[in-house]
Amino acid sequence: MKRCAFLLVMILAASVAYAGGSAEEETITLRVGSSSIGPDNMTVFMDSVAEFEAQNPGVSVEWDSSSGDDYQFAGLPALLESDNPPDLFFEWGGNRVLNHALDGYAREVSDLADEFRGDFAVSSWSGFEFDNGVYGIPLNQDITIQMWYDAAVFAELGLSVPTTWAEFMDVCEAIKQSGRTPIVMGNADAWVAGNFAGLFIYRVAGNEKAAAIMGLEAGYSLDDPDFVKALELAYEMGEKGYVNADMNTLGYEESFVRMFDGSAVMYPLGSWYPSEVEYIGYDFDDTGHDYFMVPAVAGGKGDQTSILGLNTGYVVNAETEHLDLVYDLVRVMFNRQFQERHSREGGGMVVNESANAIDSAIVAKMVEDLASAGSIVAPPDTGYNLEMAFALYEAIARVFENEATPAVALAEAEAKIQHLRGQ
Amino acid sequence: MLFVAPALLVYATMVVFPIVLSIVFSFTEWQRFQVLSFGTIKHYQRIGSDPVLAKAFANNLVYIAATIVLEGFVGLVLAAVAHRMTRSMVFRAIFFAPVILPSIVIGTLWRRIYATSAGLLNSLLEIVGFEPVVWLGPPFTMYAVSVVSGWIFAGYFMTIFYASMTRIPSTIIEAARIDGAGELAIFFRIEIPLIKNMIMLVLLVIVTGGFKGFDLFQILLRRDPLQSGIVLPTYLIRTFFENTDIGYGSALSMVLTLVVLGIMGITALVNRYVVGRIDEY
Amino acid sequence: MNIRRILDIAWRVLSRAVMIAVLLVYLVPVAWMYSSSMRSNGELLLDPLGLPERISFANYVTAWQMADLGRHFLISISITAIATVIVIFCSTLAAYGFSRLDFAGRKGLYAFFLFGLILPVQSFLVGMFIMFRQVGLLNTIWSVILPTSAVALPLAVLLAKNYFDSLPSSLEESAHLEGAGTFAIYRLIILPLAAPIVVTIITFTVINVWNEFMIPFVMVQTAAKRPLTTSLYVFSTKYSANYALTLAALTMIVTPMFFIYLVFQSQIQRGITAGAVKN
Repeated sequence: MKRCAFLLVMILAASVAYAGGSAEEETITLRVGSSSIGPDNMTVFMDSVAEFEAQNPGVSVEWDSSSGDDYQFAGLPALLESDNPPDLFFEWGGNRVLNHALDGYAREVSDLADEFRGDFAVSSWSGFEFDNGVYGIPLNQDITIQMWYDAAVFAELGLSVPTTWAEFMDVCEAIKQSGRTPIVMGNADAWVAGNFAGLFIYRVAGNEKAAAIMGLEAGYSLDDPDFVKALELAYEMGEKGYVNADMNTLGYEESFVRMFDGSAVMYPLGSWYPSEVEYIGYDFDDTGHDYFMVPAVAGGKGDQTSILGLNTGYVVNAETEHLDLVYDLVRVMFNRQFQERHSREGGGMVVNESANAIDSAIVAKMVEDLASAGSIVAPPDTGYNLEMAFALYEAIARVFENEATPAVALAEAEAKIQHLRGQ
Repeated sequence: MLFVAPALLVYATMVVFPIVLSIVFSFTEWQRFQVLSFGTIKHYQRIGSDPVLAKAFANNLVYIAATIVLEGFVGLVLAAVAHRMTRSMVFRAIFFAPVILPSIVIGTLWRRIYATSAGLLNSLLEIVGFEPVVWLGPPFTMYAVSVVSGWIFAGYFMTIFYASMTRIPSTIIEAARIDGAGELAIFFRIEIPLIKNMIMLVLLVIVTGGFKGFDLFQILLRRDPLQSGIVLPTYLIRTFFENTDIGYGSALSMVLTLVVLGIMGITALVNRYVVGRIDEY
Repeated sequence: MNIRRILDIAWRVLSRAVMIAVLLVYLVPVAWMYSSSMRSNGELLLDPLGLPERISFANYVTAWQMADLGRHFLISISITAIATVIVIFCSTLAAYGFSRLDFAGRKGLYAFFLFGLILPVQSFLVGMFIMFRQVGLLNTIWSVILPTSAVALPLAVLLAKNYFDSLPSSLEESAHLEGAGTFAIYRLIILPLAAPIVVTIITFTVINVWNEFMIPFVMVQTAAKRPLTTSLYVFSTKYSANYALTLAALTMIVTPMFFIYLVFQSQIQRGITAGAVKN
């Protein structure tokens, strides 16, 4: 009995010491919080961190990349409330950054931002710069919805990229006839289909009206006739079997497999699709996947060249104890050399326009599309109240699955957010 | 008193004090983590007209009904069969095993089993010529989760019932057999009445447990955009975490508490002996 | 007499058939998990029901590294060990107090403890989160240890008190006459006698704390601090495209538990069914 107790105490002591990780008391540790990052971008981040650590002996950087959805919807608030919050953390530009500013989590960083202004695109500050200051440094420009497709299957079926809504539906029909799923979505976390149909909403209702409705302005409601009309497009796609039947139970991460096992041909997702593909172990350049922008929607009265998109970047914790070091880390992480590598190796767009790897065909195409867009509109979950966004996304999920008509689903969504009105 | 102090300290700070906090919070107006004012009843007013809460509550009832069958009834039948076998040890040991495993392991495994493509269930059904089914989507969602619940707990309740049955004097059953009673008659007329108390207790555990289940719903269904499997605990945690709505989250936790305590109270009033059993357990 | 015999045989066949069918419902998923965990993801996607072509542990090695299982195992071990020590210490001490000592409000206090048996964890989850946030203990192992200990405590007190009640008090009385103090009696006489119930309490506490999902899901968001359960949740979400890898991680968690169950099977059954009222 005694020996057992002794052993137990030893195990306890050892494991507590391990879990506490109290070995390095003297070094300063900077913590960075991020959502999940593709392996190529992660390599670049780690290289920039190594460079920073080399410049600052005695300082180490601890990078915590939690799973994307956990981070977005549960992780960060709790992470910021911990005894060891991140000094620098990833955010999607827009309402979320503004919330952090209001809550006192985000530091006003105009001084640091000014160092980058000359290099970064003017539009890149949107989502991070507000009336009362700058609350983060952008890194990536993201297009949130593009139609990725398997070019080989298009060629096999003799399909060309659709330029009108009717052609788009014809392409879907032709793919369906070939026994494949036209469009796959991994919507178990609600936002993939939500972003996709979010684009219809802007295009049908017009940017200003859509923003007013999602902004919960008085006199509007979510079951507005324009929103109903927009979701009828989603209903039709569901009815005709153009989307995968299990879209609402399929996990986001699982869904990519469908683009590779030959069962699905198109995926509505953002400019991070290439890095996501690499994440699950494919080399994007070998996939033969390409994208087109969603064509003008039938009967839309809004800007039909709008792009759903946003900037993402990093926010400095207002309460960091090592402000100078965090600024230095940002200076390294965001310098031109690493921005270029993020674009080239990660296959996405960065805010330092001259650093974009436009010798990569896909990056060049995205840069061009972004430049020629009539307007850039915010995804519901980053641009507006999150509770509203989820009520809307749940309606969208039900409509795609034909569980409810657009009018019914949107009326339900409106009922869910009644308590938000008049606050 | 000194002896009781450490336990009291842990219990009071970790259970009692947080409940008091939750009660206070449910009457507090919040802006994210900041208190705006005390003494509001708006969270409770919202409860009456919350369509999601109604849906969650209805789903909880479906889950309870399904688990009464899949956990309790199946457990009872398995116990009765095992009770009649001479060597049921291996069966009992295997049926019991899932209850010791973490829900994350069982949930993840079953998410793979239910997967539409490359899942075990659909692959097996394909052999017999069935089209793939979306098991975790409507109309199957709640039943799919309940089946996993049954997979975990049927063996557990079987063990409990089996133990009760072995306490029935074998002479009673032998006498009935000699009188020509069939096995079904013995099951319904002798065994069930004699372990009635235990059946009631298990029923109570399943019903109240049905309002507390969180793990399987979260793991199997994730964000569940159709809300076809939303239940009180998942709704509570989403309100609290996703929306950082501490006031309404607290009010929902009070609803859950009152429902569970209410069921306990009603059962206690109707069957005083059930309470007796809990006390003497 | 003949009909009875036929019925008897039919019953035997039927009952065996039922048991074997149910057995398959338990064994097939687990067998599939083991088999799939040794195949490549590509093979698994093409032919979900196929068997591994060879015994390969490559998935295990990859999953172990990618999920950082070693670290999370250690975190879970420390959480479970500390919580169990707390529960044993507090519950036996309190149960002794409730069973043998007479002090004001004893009955009321005991009932107050038992009330914890029927409370859902969700009743105090929100308050608990805010409380830990205020004292700055979120994202630490203590934010899992203390709540899980508190949850296990009422049942432990109940079982230990009932056990002590059933012990004759003659031994203690004679020790008392010889001048031993109350604590000495507790430590030297009662605790050794209580070994069987202590083992039961250890069993259900270890299993419940080890398996706890909701409390760390809420309290711990730092990836490096997560116990096994929630870190596995994040891992299985993140790598859910790689079915084989996910199943390999599950296999590594489950296998040692199966061995432990095999050895301590009856003890474990007794331990968890003692928690019947708590579920």
